[in-house]
Amino acid sequence: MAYLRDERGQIIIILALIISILLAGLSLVYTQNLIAGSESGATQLSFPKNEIRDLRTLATEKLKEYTGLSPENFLNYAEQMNKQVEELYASHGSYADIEVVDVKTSTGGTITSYTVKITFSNTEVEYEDTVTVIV
Amino acid sequence: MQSSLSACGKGQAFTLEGVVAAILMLMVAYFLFQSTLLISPLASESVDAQMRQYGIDVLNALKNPNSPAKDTLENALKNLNATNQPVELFDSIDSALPDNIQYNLEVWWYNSTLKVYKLTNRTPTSDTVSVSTYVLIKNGEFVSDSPFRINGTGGVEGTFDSDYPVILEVRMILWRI
Repeated sequence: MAYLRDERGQIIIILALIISILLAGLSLVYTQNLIAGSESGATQLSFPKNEIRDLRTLATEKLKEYTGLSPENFLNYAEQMNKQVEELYASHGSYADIEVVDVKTSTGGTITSYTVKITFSNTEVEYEDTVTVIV
Repeated sequence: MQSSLSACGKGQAFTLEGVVAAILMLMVAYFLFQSTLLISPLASESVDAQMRQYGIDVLNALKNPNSPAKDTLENALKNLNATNQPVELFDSIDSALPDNIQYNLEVWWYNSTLKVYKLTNRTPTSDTVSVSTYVLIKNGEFVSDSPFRINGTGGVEGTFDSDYPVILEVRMILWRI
């Protein structure tokens, strides 16, 4: 209390400075929180999970239906599918690609497994996955 | 403490005030230039998100390649031709969507160029959202006069055979009425 009676009031000024810096720091943290929250909320709303899910279904479940054919025919149909997927996704402004990178066959020549690289990208999301499908 | 603070005479408080004022002004300037204008999600955006979810749910529910039901996307599109419109599909969509939401249904596919077949042709309002799903149907599964069937040369054996995969994008455009 002795300091508060001091006419020169240095302590009050210093305390005011400390408090104002604390308030400024707190408001900075609060602002960062707001930005982070709204950013993550917007990303969740616009994340193209259905597009990616459909792409994965085509590359795994649908392409698998063609594994009963010879490897040459299988690759040909996979290429035809990829071309259609590219064009359809491009009409939405995104890039999608299903590329068969490896086909394994048994000694009899039938397909036992294939590996497909799934790529999706738009202005916000880049997705890439490599899946091996066992027939 | 008191002796050290008061030892330098009366000018000290003014000096301190000056320093503090300068720091405060710098902080004000910093906050002015650093502040980000944050536009929080508007009410319309959350309404759009809800409408988009309705559309995605309806399309996913109706996409069922193994079902014999006539109202699945696959069966409706396989049997579609100029005279056979997918009435059962429309009935199911109408009963699944809330009454205040109207929709258009389009099918897009690629055959040398992107092509579109409009299943419905209602006039939308200015505020619409669109959702899509993709179904794969083999060329031979379409009825012979289907608009999606690909005829001509190409494919594996010179012509588009019955195994040729046709990917159809079912696009639903929704709006509130």
